[in-house]
This record gives sequence, structure tokens and C-alpha cells, in this order.
Amino acid sequence: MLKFTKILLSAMIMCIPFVLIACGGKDAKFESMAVKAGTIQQTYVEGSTINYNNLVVVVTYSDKSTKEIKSSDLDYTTIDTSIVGVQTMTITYNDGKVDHSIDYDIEIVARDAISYVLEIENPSYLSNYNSNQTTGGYLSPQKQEAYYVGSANNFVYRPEVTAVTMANSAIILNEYVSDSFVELKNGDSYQRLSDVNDYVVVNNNTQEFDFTQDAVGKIFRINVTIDGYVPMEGNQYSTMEIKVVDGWNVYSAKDLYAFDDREMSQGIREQYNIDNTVSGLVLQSNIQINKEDILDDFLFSDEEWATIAKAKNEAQYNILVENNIDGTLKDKVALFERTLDKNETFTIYGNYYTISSEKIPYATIDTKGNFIPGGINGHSELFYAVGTNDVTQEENYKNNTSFVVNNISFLGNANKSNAGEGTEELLTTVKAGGIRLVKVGNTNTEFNNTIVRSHYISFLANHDGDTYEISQANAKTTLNYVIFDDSYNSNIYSWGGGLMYINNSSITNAGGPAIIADHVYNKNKETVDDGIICEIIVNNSTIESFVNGTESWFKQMNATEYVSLFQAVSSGVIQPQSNNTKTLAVTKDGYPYINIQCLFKHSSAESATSLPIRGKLTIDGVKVIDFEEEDMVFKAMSAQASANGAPLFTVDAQNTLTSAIGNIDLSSNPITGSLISAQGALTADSPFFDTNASEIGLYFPIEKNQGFMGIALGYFNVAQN
Amino acid sequence: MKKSVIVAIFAIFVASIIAVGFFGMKQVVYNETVYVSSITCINDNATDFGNYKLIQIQFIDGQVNGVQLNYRVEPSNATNNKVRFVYDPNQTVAEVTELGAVIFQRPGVITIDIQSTDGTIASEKVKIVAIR
Repeated sequence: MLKFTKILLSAMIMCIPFVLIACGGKDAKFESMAVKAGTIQQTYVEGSTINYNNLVVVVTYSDKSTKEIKSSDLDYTTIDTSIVGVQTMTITYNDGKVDHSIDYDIEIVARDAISYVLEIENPSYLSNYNSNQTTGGYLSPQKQEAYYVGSANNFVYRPEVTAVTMANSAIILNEYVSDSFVELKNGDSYQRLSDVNDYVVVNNNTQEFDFTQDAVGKIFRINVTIDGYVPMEGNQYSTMEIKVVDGWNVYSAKDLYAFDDREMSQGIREQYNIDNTVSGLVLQSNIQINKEDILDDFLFSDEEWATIAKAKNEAQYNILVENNIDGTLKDKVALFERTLDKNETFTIYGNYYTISSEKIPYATIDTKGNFIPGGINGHSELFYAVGTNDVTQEENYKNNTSFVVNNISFLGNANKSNAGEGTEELLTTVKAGGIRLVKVGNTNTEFNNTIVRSHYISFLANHDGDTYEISQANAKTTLNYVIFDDSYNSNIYSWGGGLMYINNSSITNAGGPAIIADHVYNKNKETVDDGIICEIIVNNSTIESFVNGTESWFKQMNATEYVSLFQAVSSGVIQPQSNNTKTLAVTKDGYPYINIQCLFKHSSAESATSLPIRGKLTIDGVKVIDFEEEDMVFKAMSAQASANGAPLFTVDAQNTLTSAIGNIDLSSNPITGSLISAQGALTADSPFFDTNASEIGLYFPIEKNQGFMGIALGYFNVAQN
Repeated sequence: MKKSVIVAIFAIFVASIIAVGFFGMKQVVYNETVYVSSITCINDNATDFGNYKLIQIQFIDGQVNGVQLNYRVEPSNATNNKVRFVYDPNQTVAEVTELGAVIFQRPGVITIDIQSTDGTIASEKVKIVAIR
């Protein structure tokens, strides 16, 4: 017994360390902390300003885990940069129980300790501007005439000055007094402006240029150097040519509120002196939009989110939190919104920069308060531009408003994804609550040379149901040289968007159809003869969405079966009948896909509906979908198809409707569907299988003797695979 | 169309559906993208100043005065991990190769932005200074 007891006690003692280690994570103690490299400099020039806002401290715990603490959660002493030499700042972090402090040395270098100025460089954003024009992936061959600068707030042109200290160390001067002059371009020559002029006020302490309204439309050359020094190498002046436009210069996300005209944003505009009476936004930098840039009105607090989410599905909430996914964005909100006044044109001048919404939270709670991550249909957008309703019948309901976007890239937080399984499924389908880039309504919209990637929807043309006549009079979209790519849903969603031109563009790689076009009935009449239809005219553009039904969007919409249907039609009918010359299925990287270019349906539902609709899609002059086609053969075939509840395929290879194959009866149970019949001779040399045919129109009835959905599919020659 | 042809078409059609349903098709989302989240210059002699890194070398006449920029792209499984080196095309201080080798022609400064090429704004700004 005693021997056994000794053994037992020995075993218990040996286990103690393991018990302690097993509990270490829970009882981890503060071990050390240090300033995170790069968040505050170690050397500053005498008289310069230290930015403490970026200061971050990294805390290390006894279990070797770490945690970053932002400056807003720290206490710290500040440095007097008028005093040359090494000074010590004390940084204190309270972990809820105890204060922990560290010292951090900062050296203030005397200005006269500078031995010489080595070189003056142009601001690096100028290199980005020049590079992006040519290698940024933009489609337009036309380059911007000049770098745009807004007249509403200061333009900062601060050359980067590198000096060398007495100790032969390089130092970058963050602040300095400059010497500058401005020239007005007249034809090919430049005229130097006097110090006092009507066009610009220069601050040589901050290198800020305040262009006046009189300068709008004019081109200037700015010349800046550091005062009192001649650089050892390179040019003395940094020089840049700019064109002044009516707009607000955007340096950070908060400047985007110059677009917003809602009362709710007035506070932030007043806080930062942002003027929203401007006619445009002019980007001066890449912009990253973070959660803290979003108005509180559009976010659930972390506590609110946790309470609502945990009450509904704590397991899903925990998965999101463990994977650092923030689901606090409210649904059906516009982060920046503007109602365009009569005759107003608002322009976003991108200067080839990028606005990134990658870090914006997802919407996981619907407007009824239900926590449904993966079940939201992304109704929130970054920008909403809507033309005024303040027009009369005498004015033909015309508001003459325009929203124009030029030379800019946008990156979102919701790219197309595989649906995944288990935990992975939630991590991808949560993007269903991702951000749409833009919604426009009742206005003439132009996107020129723009790249949009990875949004829930790139572009939403929206009809306001209460303003039928106004939408009909004003809704028009022109997309020139745009790239809409990698959307979780469709790239373009036209919800009664009216007339849309797509020229020289690339609309590709969506998680659903490349384009969805809804016919919106007039609320007061509810007939197919009325409402706002979609007419889409495509010229010299690529419209592609290669899908196989496993994309998250298809799973969310329960539309996976449609892709299987198209694959079956391709392999079972198209290929055999065409002697294996045509196919709907294209092979990419060894896998088969269907190219779903455009889906026409009724606006009442996001899923399939058989309500009668109208709409039209023309690609390079070829009528791919036209619900009002007058051709007698087509009308007879479509009537028969509707009566049978059978799909109708059409191909227009020669600018006219040449041939329609017969109905293929694919009822809800296709395996027991009835026999195929064909109108006329369906042979391998039929125009239906023309080599030049690159799209096939499918009129798809959901119910017999009702209407159709219209689907445009890519149509390929087998040799293309 | 002959009835036999119609029957044949129907049979092929049904067989295709059965075959697809039984064997299934390989299912991989086309062109699914993992975007770059950060780019970091990892040269040992780079000093981090927060919004840029600084590399200082000595310029010696008659010798090749150069720096090879080294960087890390994250995440490691980014679909497109290629970078581009963006700098003032009018500068005369150094030659920069597509692989990030910087050869100074004279003492001076060159600022290079190492940028992603997948549409994200991930980048790292590096200032390289050559002093006699």
C-alpha cells in the first residue's frame, strides 16, 4: 500500500508542470512590452511635428502570446522637438489591473547639424500616377491630360528632401521651409505668376497650394525646392504639371464625405471642415476605408452584434470572431450618398488611384434584426448617387443630372468564392454581406476607364419605385473602358436601370451571371407593357462569367441546378446535333464551365420567376435577347414554348434572327421530359450552329403559359476548348 | 425530322443527364482569387520609419554600387504574388531592374515603391540613399 501510495504521489507531482502548462493560456501574465517598429521614428529634425497617433506597443505575455495596443489606449509623455538631443518618452499601458511602463529614446537632430541636402525628389505619388497610367491595368489608350487638383481645399505638393548629417547619415526631412513658384500654361509655353495673383495662394511652410475658383480649367506648373539649400545632386526644383478642377482633394477616407449631402454626415464634415458644395472628388492618394471611417449610424456596436448574433447562433458568431471577421455593418445603408440637384454633374477624378473597401465589415444582420451570416444579399453600398425628384411634367421629368467616374480603381471585400463545406462555408458565404461599390438612380451615369474588383456587386442601376416617370426620363448608363471583375454576385445588376451602353469593356468573372437585368413594373399599373425595362447595348466588350454552380452565389440562390441543366443541354443536344462543332460548355484549366452572360427576369424576386417581362440585350449588333422580337417564326415558337413550359433557344449569327430550334421540354423532372421536336431541319450545317455565333439566347419559362426568364449564354466552337 | 433521329437525340440527352448525375463533374470555381494583403521589404540593412524604409549605402567611385531589394508578399498563397517596382521614370540616379536590383550611377536618392500587381494597394516604400 505504501509503495503504491509513493508511486501515486510521484505521478501526481510529475503531472503538476503539465497541469500548470495546460492552464498557462488562461493565466498568462504580462511579461514585457516594446514599441512596434515603424510606428514612431527614433530621429526627428529640430522643430518638426511628431505624430503620436500611429504609436503601437506590442505586449508579450508569459505564454509567448502577443497583443498590439494602439496609442488611444496608451498614456505617454511627449517630446519637445525644439530641444536638440536625445529625449526619453515614457509610455504606459494599463492592462486593467496594473500600469506597465517603458522608456523610448528619440533623438532630435539640429537643423544646422545637416551637412548638406543630398537630393530633392518629386513626391512619390507622382511616380504612382505615372506608373498607373501605363501599367495599372487600365483599358483606355487615352491618357489623362494632366494630374488633377481640386480647387476647394489645399493641394499638398511636398518634394521629398534627403539631407546628410554631420555624422554622414541620411535623414529625410519631414518638414522644411520651401521656395516655390507657379507657372500658368499658355499653349506650349509657361508664364510665371507673380506672388500675388488670382489663381493660387502658396504656403511655403507647409507646401500647400490653395487654388482659387478662377484657376478651374487651367493648367499650371508647380516648382518647389527647399529654401536655403542647393541640393548636391539632381535638380534644384521638383516640378509638376497639374490641371485645376472644381472638386475636393481626397487625402484620406474622411474626405469622401465631400460627396455626402445628408444631415447625418454634417457633424463629421464640420469637424474636418469638409465642403460638400463641390462638384467633384479629386483623389490625391490611394484610400483605405476602415471601420472607424464609417458613421456610427451604419454600424452595430460590437456589443450589439454579439448580443443579437449569440442569441440566434452562437456557434456561427464564434466562428466569425475566431477568424477575425467583423459582421457589424448594417444592411441597406449607403456609406456615402448624394442627391444630385437639377442640372448638377458630380465627377470623381481618380488620378488612377485606388479606393479600397477591403476592410469594411460585412452585413450579417438583416433589417428585421435576424442574424443570418451568409444569407444577407448585400444591400449596402459605398456610394449612392441619385438624381433629384424635384422635376415637373412640364420639364418632361428631366433633371439633367450626371454622375461621372474617371480613371480610378476600386477594390471591395466580396470576391467570388467556392461555397466551401463546414466552417469554410461560413467563411466564404459571409461575403454575401459584402459591399456593393455603387448604386445609381434617376441619373445619367458614366464610368470611364475604371477598374472595379471584388465587390458584392460592382454596379447597381436602380429604379426608385415611387418615381416611375422620373426614372424613365433620366436613367441611363454608359460604361467606357471599364473592368468589372471578380464579384461575389453579378458584376452589373440593373434593377429597372433603363438604357445601358457597355463599350470597350471587360465584364468578367462573377460568382453569378455577369449581368442581371430586372424589369421593374410601374407600381401603379403592374403590367408588362409598362415599367422600367433594361436595354443593354454592348460594343467591343467581353461579357463573361464562367461558372459551374458551386460558387457561393449559386448555392445561396439555389440556382446550382440551372448550370447542370445547361451542361446537359450542351452535351446532350448542342454538341451531337452540331456534329461536335458547337458547345455551351467551355473547358478552363481542365474543368468545364458555362458562360452565363446575362439574366433577364422580373424584379419581384431574386430567384427564378415566370412573370412576363420585357428587355433587350444586343452584343456587337447581334440581338441576343429581345422580348419584343417581331419575327413571326420567333413569335410562334415562343408561344409554343410558353404553352409547353419548354425553353426556347435562339441564335442570331447574321444580324437578323435566322433560326430558332424547337422546344426542348425540360420540365421540373428532365429525365422524364417529353420528346424533342424541332422546327425545320436541324442539321449540322444549320445557321444555328454557325461558326460566328458566339452567344445563344435562352427564353426559359418557369411555368406554362406564363412569361420567361431570358438568359444569354456564351456559345463556343468546340475547337476553342 | 425522322422519328428515329428524334428518339436518338432524346436517348443521348437522357444518357448525358444520367452520366453527369452519376459520375458528377469536377467542381472548381473558375479563377478564384486570393489577394495580396501586404508587401514587406526584408533587407537586413533597412531602417523602418513607419511609412517608409531607408537603406543607406556608401557610394564608391569606380565600383558597382548597388542594392538588391528583397521583399515578402503575404499571404504566401496569394494568387498573383508578382510585384512591380515603381519609381520616378525621369530620375537619373540609378538603374532599377525588373527584379529589384538597384545600381547607382551617382550618389543620390531613389525612392522605390514595391507594389502588388493584383489590384490591391499593398505596397512598401523604400528609400535608398547612396552617399560618398
